[in-house]
Amino acid sequence: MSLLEVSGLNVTFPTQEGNVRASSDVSFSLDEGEVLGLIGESGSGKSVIGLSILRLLPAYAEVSGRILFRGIDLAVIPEKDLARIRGREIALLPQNPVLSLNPLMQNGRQLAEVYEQTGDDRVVARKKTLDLLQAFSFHDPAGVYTLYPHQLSGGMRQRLTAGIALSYHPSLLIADEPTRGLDRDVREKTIDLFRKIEDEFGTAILLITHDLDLAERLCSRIVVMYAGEIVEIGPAGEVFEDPAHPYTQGLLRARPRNGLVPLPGMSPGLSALPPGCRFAGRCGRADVSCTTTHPTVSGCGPGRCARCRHLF
Amino acid sequence: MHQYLTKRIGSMVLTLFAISMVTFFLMNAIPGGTAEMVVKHTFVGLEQQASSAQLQEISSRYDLKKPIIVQYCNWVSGALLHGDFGTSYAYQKPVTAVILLRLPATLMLALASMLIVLVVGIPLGIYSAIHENRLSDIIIRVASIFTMSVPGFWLALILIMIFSIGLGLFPTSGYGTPYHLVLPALALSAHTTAVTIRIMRTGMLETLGKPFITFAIAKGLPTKYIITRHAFRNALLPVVTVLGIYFGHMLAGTMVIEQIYAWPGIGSLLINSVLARDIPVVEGCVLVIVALVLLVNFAVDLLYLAIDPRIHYE
Repeated sequence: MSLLEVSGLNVTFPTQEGNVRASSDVSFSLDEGEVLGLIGESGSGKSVIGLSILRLLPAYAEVSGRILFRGIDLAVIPEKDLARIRGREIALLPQNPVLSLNPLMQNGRQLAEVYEQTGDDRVVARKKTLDLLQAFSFHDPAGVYTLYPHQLSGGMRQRLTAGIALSYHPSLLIADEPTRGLDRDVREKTIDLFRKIEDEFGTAILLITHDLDLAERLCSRIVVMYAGEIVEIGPAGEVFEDPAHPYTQGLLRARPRNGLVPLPGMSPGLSALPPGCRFAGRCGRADVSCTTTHPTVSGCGPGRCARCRHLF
Repeated sequence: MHQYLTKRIGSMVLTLFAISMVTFFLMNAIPGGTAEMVVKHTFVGLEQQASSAQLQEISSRYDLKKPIIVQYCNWVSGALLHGDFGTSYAYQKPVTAVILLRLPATLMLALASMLIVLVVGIPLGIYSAIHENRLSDIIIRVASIFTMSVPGFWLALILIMIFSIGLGLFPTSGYGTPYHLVLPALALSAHTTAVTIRIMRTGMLETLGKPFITFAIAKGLPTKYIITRHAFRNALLPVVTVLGIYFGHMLAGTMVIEQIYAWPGIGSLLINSVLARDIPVVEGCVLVIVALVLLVNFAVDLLYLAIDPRIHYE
């Protein structure tokens, strides 16, 4: 059994301009200890998937589909049971470490409170917190404990949020754009941090990112998203070496090392999706049937599949 | 911080000085002789018969013959050196004594009103935010808009009609027992309570949408804990700002409510003194009110420090 199995996940945000379909019929699975990359451009619905696994989307979002975690459907269990899974079994490494820390609470308290919630008294929680800060290469844990988030550097805040996320050695970590807005130095440290998480904690990671280099360096499997749906799944090496879907091919050509060839056009708005293939408008291979019939996902090699009518 | 405190206290003293000057000269710019006014209060009903010798005597007793600048300097030095703010024309007593007699009533009313605002406004604001767009939230919002739109004097009269005349639960006016405090405090606190509900609600909703709240949920923390320990304090700053302003108003601007309920506070003293042209008392009242408002503002700024570690004063 897979650790996480998402099937038929649909997320819709009703707005005054119509329904925004942030994710349509998303299905993928993740094994214990695996690092799975969820890649795609901004607005392709990657983050929404990460947040919907932990039911962190705003209440007005309409979510359907099954999210099986060790056989338990997270989409239907009561809030109380889910709270016991959050942080302990499945943790979130938030997109923005600066905004994700409470500005009015001491750094240490934001970690210790997690331990206190599970019954540790203040002294024990403090001890565990200091140990964890040490493990996340804070040289002066006691000093950092009493500081406030604004007194830390960007890299330190990232390590602090990572520490909070891993405080209970979760079996799954959802990392939501961990390198977004970080400078080169901190980004390199983030990569080290993920290696460490993988090696020392054995945590499975769902890495949501638009940073293709990060995904290539860390992931064993890749899921490519476009306009709210999955267009390709495959082992990282193969997807990067020999992409099957025209969108993935375009995405990889747009990387600086491959000549920075931009993809023509824009992705369709999520509130007015075309009836056929969502990529047809930007695709060199598209024909008339592509604009009328929505393609399904079909296999294209061992462990690989893609959503295109022109695979062969 | 040390430097900030010195600067801050210095500017408060300067403000008091400026206000004292403005009030003093403005009050003296009002047409009509002061000595005649004093006579009116001293010889009630017989003021027409006051001789010019008596007027002379009064003028010299209150230093009214001297140039206005000298009068002001004498008054300020008396206030600074001896805490002597002059003698009331109407009461024939030291201004300090007259004000000290009235101050407790105003403070009591303001504090009681503030207590109502805190105990009712903040919890209802939080409740309303948590139940956003549900029936209870809509009822609270409509009620608070209604309360905000109603003038205080009207509400004061309606409260008397219902609770004093109709139900006979509380006295219509007066001062002395806790029963006397209830209606004036309700009337005075109503508007501020409604404003507090709305600001607390908005602040909570804004805070609850922040990423650190999402992260707190993802940490597996229970909802109640997140609201009390994470959201509340972050939503509090705008509320503290507004409450500071309104508390200043309560200390200063309670004249209408004090008049309606015959509450013997600073507000009614100030109005009566203005009408009687009792310049020393007006001066004293204004200075006390200004000092109280300055102190409240100062306290609010210090409260920011306690709430938000990112705030530093240089």
